[in-house]
Amino acid sequence: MTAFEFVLLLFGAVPGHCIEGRTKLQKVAYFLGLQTGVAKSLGYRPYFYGPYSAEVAEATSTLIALDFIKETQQPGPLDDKGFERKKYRYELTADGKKAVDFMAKGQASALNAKIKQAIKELNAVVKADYVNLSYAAKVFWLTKGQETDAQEIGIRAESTGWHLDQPQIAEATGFLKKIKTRGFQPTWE
Amino acid sequence: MSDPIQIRDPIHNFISLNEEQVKVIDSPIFQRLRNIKQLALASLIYPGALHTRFDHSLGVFHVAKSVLRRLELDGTDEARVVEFAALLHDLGHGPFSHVSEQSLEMFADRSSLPSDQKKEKIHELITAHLIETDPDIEKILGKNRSRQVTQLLNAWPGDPVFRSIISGPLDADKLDYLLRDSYFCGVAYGRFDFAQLERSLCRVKKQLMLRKTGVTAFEQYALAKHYITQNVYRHKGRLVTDAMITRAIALGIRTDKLPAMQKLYCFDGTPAFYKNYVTWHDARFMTEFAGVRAKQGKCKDVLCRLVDRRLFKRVFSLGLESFSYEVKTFMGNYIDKPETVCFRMGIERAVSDVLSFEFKSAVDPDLVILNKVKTKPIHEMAMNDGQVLVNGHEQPEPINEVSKFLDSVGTAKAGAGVDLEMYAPVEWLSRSRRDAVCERIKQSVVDVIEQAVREEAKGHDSV
Repeated sequence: MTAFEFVLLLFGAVPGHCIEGRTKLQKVAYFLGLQTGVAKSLGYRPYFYGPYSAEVAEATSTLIALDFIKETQQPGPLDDKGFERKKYRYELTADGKKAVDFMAKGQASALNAKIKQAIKELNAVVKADYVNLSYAAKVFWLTKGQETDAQEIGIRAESTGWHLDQPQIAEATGFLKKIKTRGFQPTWE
Repeated sequence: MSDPIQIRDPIHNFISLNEEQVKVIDSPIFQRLRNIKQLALASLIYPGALHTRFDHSLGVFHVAKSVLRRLELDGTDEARVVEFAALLHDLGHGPFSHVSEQSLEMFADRSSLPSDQKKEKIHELITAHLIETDPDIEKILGKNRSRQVTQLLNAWPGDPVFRSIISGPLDADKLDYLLRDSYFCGVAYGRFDFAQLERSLCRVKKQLMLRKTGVTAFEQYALAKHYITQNVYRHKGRLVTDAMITRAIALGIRTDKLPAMQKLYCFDGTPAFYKNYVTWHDARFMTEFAGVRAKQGKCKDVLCRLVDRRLFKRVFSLGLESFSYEVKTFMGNYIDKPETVCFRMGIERAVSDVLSFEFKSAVDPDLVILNKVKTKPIHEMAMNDGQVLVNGHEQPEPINEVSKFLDSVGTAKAGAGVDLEMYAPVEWLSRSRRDAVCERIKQSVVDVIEQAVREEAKGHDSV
């Protein structure tokens, strides 16, 4: 499995073949990577906004360079100084759809089936707001899915360089519980 | 501890080391880096590029030390670990630096590795092993600190800011090599305002960040990285020399069956491998495999061409976006690894036929090289596997939201691309002849690649 295969097939499987925001793309790939058992190969590491994979970012850039994914900038919310923040939107192109079919017919067919199944199970992840997804990804990274006291999560977050307040931890823990009841079963290779 | 030794350096002027650090650089395993050039055979293109991993390691040490001082973290135990990690981060480099990494990956016997190491990068395993087991290093650092150094280079459980000084978008490695490579290659592409960038570094919420005063210097740094990549690291002559060394190694192992080459690159994680590995450097490699006593064969032929600077020529170069969606998909995902060797050799054999017909003399298929050249977009190259944050008024902000310049070049298309190239041992009589031949064979090579991918895909379908 390569990040190129994973990201391409992910776009072939997400509703509307589209993901809005770089952070959201990273976190959706993180949770789907965990659900399909390939997260370790994607090389996630802790960064300021949560687990981040340079491989996923690079694969996305390559897919854009090959015209399989179209990247567009959209106006985003205004910041505190009234500066408009841009939001990136990623959408599979017509050529990209052909590429997904080509890859799914070949040796990546098993991975494709796993990703499709994972998206059914993790519909809440695909629909979630990127900020909430980021908190959930951080909490999952810190706890590895184990039941952990909220105070302890806060301490671990601080030592990783993340700041998570108690409401954010509660929200993330609730989200992780919700997706667990719907079939989230993370595995590492 | 006082700093008894000051070493003159063309980039940073004086580099000061204390007694412990001097002992490290005086150890034989560190001195070996004097004989491993930073940019392999880039000196065949840029004659000044004779600098070594030794100079660079000292430079990284100096930058790391000055960043620690800037962040007021110097003098702590962790700071000492950072300084040693900076000095030792390239200890595992083999002959011709990064070129060896590709061959180690290709020929490693991963089945012999423990399960937790099977997916690790071989050169990282080698570096960690050497730091933790070399008797001189162990004697100077002690077991515990050696372990901490390898943790910092790989998975650091402590304060993330220390790790960021060693690995990340603003790490000491990049801050040194851009300036150093630029200086020794005699180009201005890699230059940026180091002093301003360094003085604007700060530590906020256990993260290495920039103050706003460093934004312009970082913009310069981002462009410097892009331009030096385009003009030095991805210079067509340099791509050819790297590909020729890699091919010579492969021919030495597979075709000429040279025991010394096999022993050097067939990594199995045994003490015997490491013991042998540390005895190799650029000069010994060339003497052993291209010298007068070297065994005749294809490996020696290729290496002798490098010695005489009779470089292979680039006969084909085309952006992958120009191919069919099947080729774009297959080659976009392609990695040169043991499982793909047959597929690659099939293309190289067919292209050698095209060239033999064009040049009316046989071109050896073993000497035709397919190379996939990938370039990252400007913003991704600048961020280097991470995110650069600017310490804003209330909370840190990503630099591309603070810098209008980086925001405008922030799209994935800016500077990105994947090219397929072919190199071969042919000679051009003139530039116009070169252009005419390349134009004439272009469609034939495209057809070869399209056909090979279709056949490969059919093979997978039938499986």
